[in-house]
Amino acid sequence: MNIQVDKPVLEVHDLTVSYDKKPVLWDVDFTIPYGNLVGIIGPNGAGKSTLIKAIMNLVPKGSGYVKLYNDSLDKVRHKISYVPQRESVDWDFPASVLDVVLMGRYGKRSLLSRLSKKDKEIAYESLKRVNMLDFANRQISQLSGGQQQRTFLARALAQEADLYLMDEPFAGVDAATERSIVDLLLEMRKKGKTIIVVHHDLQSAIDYFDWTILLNTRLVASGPTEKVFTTELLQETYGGKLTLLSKIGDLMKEKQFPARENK
Amino acid sequence: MEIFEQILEFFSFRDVNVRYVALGTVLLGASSAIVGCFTFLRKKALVGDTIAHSILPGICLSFIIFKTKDPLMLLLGAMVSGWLSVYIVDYISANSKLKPDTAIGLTLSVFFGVGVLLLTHIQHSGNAVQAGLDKFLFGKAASLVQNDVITFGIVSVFLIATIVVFFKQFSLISFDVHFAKTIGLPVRTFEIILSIITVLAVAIGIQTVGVVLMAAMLITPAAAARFWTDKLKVMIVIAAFIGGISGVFGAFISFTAPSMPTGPWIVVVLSIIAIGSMLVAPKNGAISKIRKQKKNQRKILEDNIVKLLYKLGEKENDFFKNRSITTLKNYREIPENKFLKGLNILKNKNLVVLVNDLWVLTDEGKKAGMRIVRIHRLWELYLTTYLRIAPDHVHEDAETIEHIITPEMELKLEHLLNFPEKDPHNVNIPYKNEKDSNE
Repeated sequence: MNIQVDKPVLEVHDLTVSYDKKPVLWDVDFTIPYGNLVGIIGPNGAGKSTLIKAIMNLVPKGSGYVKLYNDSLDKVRHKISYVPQRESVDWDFPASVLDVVLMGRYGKRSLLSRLSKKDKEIAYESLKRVNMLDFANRQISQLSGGQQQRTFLARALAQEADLYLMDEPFAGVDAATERSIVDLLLEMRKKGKTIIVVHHDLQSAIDYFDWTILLNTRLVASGPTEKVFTTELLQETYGGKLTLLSKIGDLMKEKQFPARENK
Repeated sequence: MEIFEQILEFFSFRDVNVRYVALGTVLLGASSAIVGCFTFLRKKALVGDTIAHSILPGICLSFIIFKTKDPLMLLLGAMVSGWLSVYIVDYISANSKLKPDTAIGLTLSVFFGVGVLLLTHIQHSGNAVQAGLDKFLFGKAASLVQNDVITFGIVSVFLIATIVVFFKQFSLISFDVHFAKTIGLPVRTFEIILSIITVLAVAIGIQTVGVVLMAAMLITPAAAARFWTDKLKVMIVIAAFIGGISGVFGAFISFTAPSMPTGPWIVVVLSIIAIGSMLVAPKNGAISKIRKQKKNQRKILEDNIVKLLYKLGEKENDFFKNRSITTLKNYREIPENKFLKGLNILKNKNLVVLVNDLWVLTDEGKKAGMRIVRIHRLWELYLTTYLRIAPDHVHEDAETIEHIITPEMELKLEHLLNFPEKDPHNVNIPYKNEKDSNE
């Protein structure tokens, strides 16, 4: 099932991404409507993180294109916020929580201009929204996993974007933090933001998301959550990789074969 | 006395040469330390080492071609080969199965090998101006002349200015490069700028420190500074200070013992500072850890004594009876001197008083003892209730935990268990507001 929408906020067209010539995403193609809370669901190694990295141009595309607001990423970057996985950075870096959140304002400034008083206000406001105001001056190495995640979310809020792409924001946080993050996401959606979340817990997915993308190296389904969450589609997603598909992938790696003839 | 005269002579900076060398080494030490902070934070310490070793063939080649020791020309050669080595390491890591550490090892040894070959060739060529090129191996601060210092000074100022101007960008790509890319920062450009200034910092340092040990000048100040602060800006200032001090010291050695290479001495000073920082730094240092341990031991001792006095009071139904250390020793295996030490601390805190060589709890002391006993029993109950641990297995755990629970945790524990009356061994849990039977 792949339900396409008119005037999507995000269009992924025939996207193939390979690591060392082995495709980890095969011809993924879907569209996402405005103002939804979207879950990208799939087992480990399904290529969920790779998908949003490819959308953000962090990994090279083997084929296909991505359009955001019907435009290329470079034209609409200021409207988009990316929240990396918590483990992707070294939290022993000498910085305070506020320093990290202020990084969310760098994109709004030209290269050499200083951050203004208003930037600081926005940073504090963002910290307040994730309930981390008391930790503003805390050294980031002293934070718990949930606090680290909320720091990243505050940085994303400080970007004042319209579309948010979040890589596993619920990984390694306790139930209370997860609840408060979900509340925040719902509040953001109410303000018309679109939020795309990589998530791997099926149980909660059905409660959280309006729109669900089922992924396992290939797109299994994309559509409203209640339509996508069928036993059949879930089995297809979690029932393992397609044997032939992985064999061909291995072969491409072995022969160092390009994803497209002309690449 | 001679050494004092030498110190005086050097640090009065009367000699114009001394002035140049001191200024040169301070600038160089500080600027390479500042640049090195980012090398350190980006976990590229070994890349710094590669650059340092790879600069040698560049210097030798530029000497062979231009036949001059003009620092600008040598710097040019150093830049080219240093930059080339960075590029090769990146290229090998990105385009082959080899991991970065292997790429670094390969590149470093090949470049350095070629450098030593060229250096030997120059020294045997009988060229009149070749004398002293070997200082590039281990450094000779005293060989800095006015011309060098002016060149290096300008480069140092340029390095520091670059860091100041692009501080935000450099810290962002050091912390979270993916995020930096997504906000549209030209990450690749800034990475190249960072490697260029790293190469420059190394290149101006080698005359003083030498290629073999230059990496220490880059990394050690940053590593030492990291122990002292959690703020990046402060860390950079401290690193610059450490780098500057070691530089001057190297220059001093070079003046007092001209036959001595400077590099090793600078590294010795740097290492002493780094090891010192590791030991004494307030939060992360080894000594502060030992101090914390000591503090814990003292707290445990105090708690145990006051708890013992309380429990004896509970048992004999008399909390304010005078007791001797000999009596106390029957109930708890603590050596006499420790008992005495602990009791004296408690006396200073007004928790016990000494009456005719016998010890007795004060009101405060009784409260303190009751608190430990209460926490101990609450924790036992918590373990049996929430962790489903058998009642005969919880005592040992509670013996430790009773010393660390804070008043806030205590309150939580009480509410969580709903102010229970009995612990798992069916013993009363004493509370503050309760009237004791004997009062």
